[in-house]
Amino acid sequence: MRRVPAFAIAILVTAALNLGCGGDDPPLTLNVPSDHPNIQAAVDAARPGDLILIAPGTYHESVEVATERIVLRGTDRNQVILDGQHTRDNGIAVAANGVAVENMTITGYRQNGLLFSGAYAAEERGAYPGYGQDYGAGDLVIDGYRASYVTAYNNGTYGLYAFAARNGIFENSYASGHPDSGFYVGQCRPCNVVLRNLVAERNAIGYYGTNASGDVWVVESVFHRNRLGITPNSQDAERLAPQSDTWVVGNLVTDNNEPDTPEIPMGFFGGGIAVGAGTSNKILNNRVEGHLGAGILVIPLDDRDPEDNEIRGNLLANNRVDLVAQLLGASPGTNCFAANTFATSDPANIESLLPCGGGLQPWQPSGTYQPPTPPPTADYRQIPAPAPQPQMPDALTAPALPATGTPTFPDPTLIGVPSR
Amino acid sequence: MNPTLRAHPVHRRSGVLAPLITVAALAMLPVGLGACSGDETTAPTTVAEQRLDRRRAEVMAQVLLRNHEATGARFQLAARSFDSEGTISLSGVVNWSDLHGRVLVSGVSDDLGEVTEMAWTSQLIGEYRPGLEAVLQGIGHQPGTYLIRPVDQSRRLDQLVGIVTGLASTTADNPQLILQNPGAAYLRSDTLRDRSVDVVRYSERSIFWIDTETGMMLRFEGSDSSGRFPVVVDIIEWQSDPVELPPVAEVPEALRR
Repeated sequence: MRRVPAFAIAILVTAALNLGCGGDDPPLTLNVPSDHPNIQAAVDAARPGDLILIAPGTYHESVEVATERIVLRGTDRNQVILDGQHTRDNGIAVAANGVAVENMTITGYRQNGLLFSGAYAAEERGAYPGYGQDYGAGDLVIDGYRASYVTAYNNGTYGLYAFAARNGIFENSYASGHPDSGFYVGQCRPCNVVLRNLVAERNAIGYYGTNASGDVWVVESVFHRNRLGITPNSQDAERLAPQSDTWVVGNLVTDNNEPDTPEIPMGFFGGGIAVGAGTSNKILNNRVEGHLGAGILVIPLDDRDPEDNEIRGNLLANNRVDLVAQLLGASPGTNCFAANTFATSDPANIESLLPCGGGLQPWQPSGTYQPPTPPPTADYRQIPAPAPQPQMPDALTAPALPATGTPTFPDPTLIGVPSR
Repeated sequence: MNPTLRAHPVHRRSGVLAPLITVAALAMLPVGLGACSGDETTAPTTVAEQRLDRRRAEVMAQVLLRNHEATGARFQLAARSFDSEGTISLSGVVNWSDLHGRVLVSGVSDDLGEVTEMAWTSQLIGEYRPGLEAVLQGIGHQPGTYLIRPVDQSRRLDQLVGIVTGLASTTADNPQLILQNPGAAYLRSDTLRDRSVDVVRYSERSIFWIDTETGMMLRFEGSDSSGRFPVVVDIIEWQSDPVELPPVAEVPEALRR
């Protein structure tokens, strides 16, 4: 038998060890605080695919995630609390692809509760926009993200925030007391994001989607007692304008006139769903009730008109004006209203003037609608904490599921008008 | 009865860094007015301008909010005057919670008129002109009475007041957006009045000197789009006391410009 030189054996052993370090090991569960004293220490020790399981407690830290495809999970949504004490910036700032955050509460941060940032991820990769490039398009994104069963309240800007991010999910989550918005998806094309089964209340805005375009789905959620419920919109303050292709389907949007809320500088108040200079959005089968301003508005923003938006099948009641369309231009454009249940509109007979499927009537720009005067702002730090929120099922035993791939988009034909 | 500056409504500014730029554009702003008295800098530790990173963007995003949270400050301002090659200096206090302020005015500029002191609220400017002291006392006003008038943004002094009061915000800016601002950059590390600072540019016309330990703004430099009218504001000391406003009188018609 031929002898194998010792040095060859050493090489083989080294190769085997290297294989073992190369990512083929099964995912680990890193427990906080039993294995690691705090969440950041566990994140720093984690490898792609690992689960960080966090025991009940209040964690005064700001967590930064730069490792791809890890899952951060609290064992109890209402008792695993990240508390920024209004001195730290972000609760969890994610700068890597495929990260999921589950089953915890995040409060008291000066900026955001949970941030997925394509700009930060690009910096981690050493990539920056060149001439004519923008964060949120091409490779300058976070690819894959998810927040499930997360409660965010009383943070300084946004509750759950995805910037320049693609292929994401916000689900079964709650946000209140934010002076900008509870949920925000901004500057992405295509975004490929599903927001479902959310509750947003007592924020300046419930869902805010500036320049978020391409398969943005806001479905089967509750937007209640904010200053403004939902607003897909185009603004020049961010890149990738104009916004397009958001589906707002089957949401309960009520009483977004809450005075005891923090104010956003732009001063929105008393509106259910406002398409601000957005394009090609579908606003379908929502129940929109109880607004001192208007139920659904299609309006200009930043001197840009909304275009090609379809407002169909919504049930509107008890709004000062149910449906509003305002345009800067003399042309009616191609926004359309059909099959809505409503009592009032501005202009009157809005479904005859702006019908879906063609047949536009002569357009007389309407300028009669005026939004209510916003009440003074409330201190976001003083908004009452929410009641305990539903737990993630099987939080102790469910396997880690990193956020990879394009999410499954809802079938809008299967989503009806929700009950109150 | 003499009107009082305190009697007028307060408009709380709620902008972020971007609105500051608007104010700056109205007025003027900065670079290179070498400075305010008491200024002590050392040679910069780095010189090359660099891309702004997320750490510094996050600090910058909070800088005006931190001013607001500090309530107020004693400051010194140095600026190029608008209608001459002269300079204007303001030295005094500002309270960002109610937007009141009071300063001594000095310099060499046609923009000054005879004004040696100013006080303001969000809506009114009060000016003290020593040459009118006798006149005002002659019609029953107490010594040291300021003349009040509405804010007039065409006046250089009012623009400078607007810049000082605009250096605070009730909300933070967004670091994500700062990162993609044209002109946003880390300029250098430096030392100012024995404090270690990062010198960072928000846009092409606004530069902040930020204490690396506290995140507080120690200096603001701004300029208008032409770069001809720079302004430098140095924060000397943080303070939360209300601004003591002077006795005031309406501007007699005969004295209106």
